[in-house]
Amino acid sequence: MVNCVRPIPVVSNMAISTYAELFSLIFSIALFRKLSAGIRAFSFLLFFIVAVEVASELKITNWHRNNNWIYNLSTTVEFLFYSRLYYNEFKTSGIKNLILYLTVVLLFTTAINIIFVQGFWKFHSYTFMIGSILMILYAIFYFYSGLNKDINYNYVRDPVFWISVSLLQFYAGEFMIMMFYSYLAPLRLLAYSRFFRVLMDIINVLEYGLFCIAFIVDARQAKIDAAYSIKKR
Amino acid sequence: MKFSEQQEIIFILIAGTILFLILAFSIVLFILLYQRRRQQHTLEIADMKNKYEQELLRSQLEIQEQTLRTISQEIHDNIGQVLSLAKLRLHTLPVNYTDEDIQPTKDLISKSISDLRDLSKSLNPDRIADIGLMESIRHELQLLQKTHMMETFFEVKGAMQRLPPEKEIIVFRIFQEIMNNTIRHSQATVFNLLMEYGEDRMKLVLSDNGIGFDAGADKGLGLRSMNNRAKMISADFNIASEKNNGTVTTLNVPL
Repeated sequence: MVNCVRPIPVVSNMAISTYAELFSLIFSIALFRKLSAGIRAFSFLLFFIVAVEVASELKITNWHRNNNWIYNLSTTVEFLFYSRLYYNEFKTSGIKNLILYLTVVLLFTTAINIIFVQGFWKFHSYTFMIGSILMILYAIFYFYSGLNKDINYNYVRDPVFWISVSLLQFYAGEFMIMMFYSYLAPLRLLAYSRFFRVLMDIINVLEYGLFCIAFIVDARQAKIDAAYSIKKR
Repeated sequence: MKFSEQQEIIFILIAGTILFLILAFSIVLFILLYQRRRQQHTLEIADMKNKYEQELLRSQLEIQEQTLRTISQEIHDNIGQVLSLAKLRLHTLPVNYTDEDIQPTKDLISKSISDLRDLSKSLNPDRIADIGLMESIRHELQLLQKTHMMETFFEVKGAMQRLPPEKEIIVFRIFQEIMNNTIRHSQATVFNLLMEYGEDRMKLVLSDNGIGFDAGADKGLGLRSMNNRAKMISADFNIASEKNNGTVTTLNVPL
């Protein structure tokens, strides 16, 4: 049965997702001192994400009958954050410059999209898709670059590997939804809304669960590195 | 929009999402499996390299050991005897000896000097690398010939080409082992060696006219060791022998 119901909540009312984000935030704070500098920044990102989620659920950010504007902002901040992470991870200047260039292009197109195309009060699904493609490409390229690293390099001991897996599954999972978003969202279909909610819960739990694994791996690696540096001294 | 159309779109959406997620996890799985296989492959190569180096070292040690044994035997059986004879001759010289009287003693001492010179060459640890496989084999055969234990024949066909030094050491050690086996067990009177250089292979054929052995029977440690060493340099190793019908050993080494 397809029913016309209340306006489709974009990411609101997703208790499971919010719990996953909150859990991941608490986890990162608990391990904060043991984390390396690059991964510590995730605590701030997660705090920002949780703040946005909670504000949305409390309808604090509901302007113009929806909270799309805050997600336009938060998703762009996330793209910038992950781009910075990969920018720091890749060592080749050519790739660094490419990431920098693509980030500027993404920011520019997002601004154009929000101002002139989809508008500030609608979710920026077009540029979100572009951002998703970039994140997927960065993650795949990160995996590929691991194959050229030292033979002793082990993916599972690298926190950025887990973050890349997390981002890959999240943005690949969201891609189809975003492809149909501008067409299906105005129709307010119950089936679409339900699927959206279930999918978001699954990929969010996976995303933040994988983030937690990345934190554990990073804390353990930092401990090993510290022990090694003491031995070396 | 019709209900069926909506259903179709939702179906495409779900199927597409599942497909995307499967694809994403497949990429991760592929990367992990590929890396594991790559690590295993690298470890196997390192292990093989390690074994090869160990085998090379063992061959070098065995060659040195064999050389020392030959030298000891040569000093005792040949040079020692000749010098004793020279000493005896000096003792029995008449008081007013002439040049003619002393000449045989001079010849004996000259022979000993010449033999010692030959032996000192054998003591050089890099002898094989210096003079090459062919000359090293020729030298060993000359030493065997001098013992009068058996007649040796050495033939070279084709244009001589040097093998990489590590390969030469292993081939030489295999040759030495075969020669030792022939001396110890074959009761042969003739030992033939043919070195044949082709475009991309070098063939070494060693044969004797001894009592032979049952080549089909269980291979001893020595034969197995030679076989393993041949495998390490990608050479074909083959022994053909029958009771009372001599032995022919062939080693086919890629250049």
